[in-house]
Amino acid sequence: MTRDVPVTLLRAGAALLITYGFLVTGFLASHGSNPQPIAGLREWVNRPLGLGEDFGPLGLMVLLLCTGYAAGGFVRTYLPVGVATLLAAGAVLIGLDISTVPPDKSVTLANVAGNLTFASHLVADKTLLVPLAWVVGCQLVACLVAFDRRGWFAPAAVLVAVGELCVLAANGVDLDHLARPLLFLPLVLLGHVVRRLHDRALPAWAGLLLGTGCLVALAAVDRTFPDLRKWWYPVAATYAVLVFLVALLVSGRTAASVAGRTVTRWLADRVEWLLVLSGVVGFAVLNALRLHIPVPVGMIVALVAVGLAADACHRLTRRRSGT
Amino acid sequence: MRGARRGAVAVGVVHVLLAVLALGAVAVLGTGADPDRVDLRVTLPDPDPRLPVNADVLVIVRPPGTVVLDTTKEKRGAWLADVLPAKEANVLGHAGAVDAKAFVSRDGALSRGVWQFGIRDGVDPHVALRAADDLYGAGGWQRAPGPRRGLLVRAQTQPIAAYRAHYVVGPYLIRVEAYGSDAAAVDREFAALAGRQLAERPPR
Repeated sequence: MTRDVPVTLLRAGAALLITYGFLVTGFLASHGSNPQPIAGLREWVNRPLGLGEDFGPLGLMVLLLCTGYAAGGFVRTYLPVGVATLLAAGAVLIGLDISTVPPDKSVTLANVAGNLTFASHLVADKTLLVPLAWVVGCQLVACLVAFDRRGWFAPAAVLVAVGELCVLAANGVDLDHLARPLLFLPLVLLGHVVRRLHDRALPAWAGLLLGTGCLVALAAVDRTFPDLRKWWYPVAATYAVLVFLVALLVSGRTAASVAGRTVTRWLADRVEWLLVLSGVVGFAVLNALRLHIPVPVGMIVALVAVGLAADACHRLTRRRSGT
Repeated sequence: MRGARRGAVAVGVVHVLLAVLALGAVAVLGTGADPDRVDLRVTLPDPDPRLPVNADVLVIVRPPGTVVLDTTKEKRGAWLADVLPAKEANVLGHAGAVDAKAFVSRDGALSRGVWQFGIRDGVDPHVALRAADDLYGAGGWQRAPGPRRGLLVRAQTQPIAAYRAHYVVGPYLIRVEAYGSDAAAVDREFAALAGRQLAERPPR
């Protein structure tokens, strides 16, 4: 059984959860709408399970675990942020409403450069053109960590850095804008550690130590930043880690059959594009159509538009990056 | 490949059967709602349905000191008659209160408490606010200045120093109280606790 099977399945699942949580329900929630069957799903599934933001963070966590497990190339990982940032800047300049709705005057060359280089995410109170770009930032950390041939040093160093930032935040340094990236980052490291254990490149005791350190870091970040507590991210992280480990350990013929399907591979290959383009293309289409056609119809149009845009970006950049 | 497909079909059939079983049970047995208690329903506002839990389920702060009463872990709170004197439970019950979630703490001779009374659907929570305030007024408690508009404060000095303040948050009547033998400590601790509670959940 190839190890690509569970990763493909999980990435495809993450694509569905992310699109549902950040485009479909995210758009409706931004307009104060809580229609059926979404309300029913929240009442009967999300809240009983303790999952906030309609599975979106769960999808992100699964995606980051997979990225840590099988990190891709640096350039290919970065491209979705570069393209989505330029698209978002263009959309704002021609007057389209995207998920962040930044004012026109904030789209300056310096601001776009800040978004392209993640500087806007690292500094507080900057206009973010692609709010979820930090997820790709975490994936880039996975690429860097994968360079470390020892397997343990890079994750340990990142965990120490996360711990130090928690200590600074606890002592009054304003790092609230980094809270989510810091909380999700240990999952990338956990995926990396599991991969090293799978490859027998890391002793079991070291893997156990690092894995525990990742979970402790996640819990520490959650306790350090009060604004995060209401989202119960450690609950979602628990599900994500369990699903990830179960998928790795028990994937069989049925999983291989599902992973081999075109739609599964399509979703798995384009999950990062769907992630960043949902807030740009999806919201722009929905906001443009909102007053002219019923929202459910507009939602279908937006999903098709995001899918087409993600597919086009994936095909173009795959050719350019030679992969 | 045929074997894998057959396996997938079997897994799907099992899931469908389990779903039919669960939905059938709901159809036959109902959702667990008790029609006899429909008059006691308290519908909560849900300001952010994307949160994993409704933040308005519990709107009271935990007072400092050793907690000697905590009914906040009960999903519906405690019955009024279980945690209040009979007369008070009767008055509040008639004014629409259904249940009580409360923290009461003790610190030597000083007690502090914060209570959240759910007011049933169709009843204005301000009716319960006036009923609670009138009950203490009739009992000889004096009106005291409150730190904020909307908060009705009553105080007494004998037999012990005590404050009881009430206000409304959404479908809840909130009570903040402090009592003990040291009047200065009661003054100080009541002001601190009321300030915390009001900062966390102002009247609305």
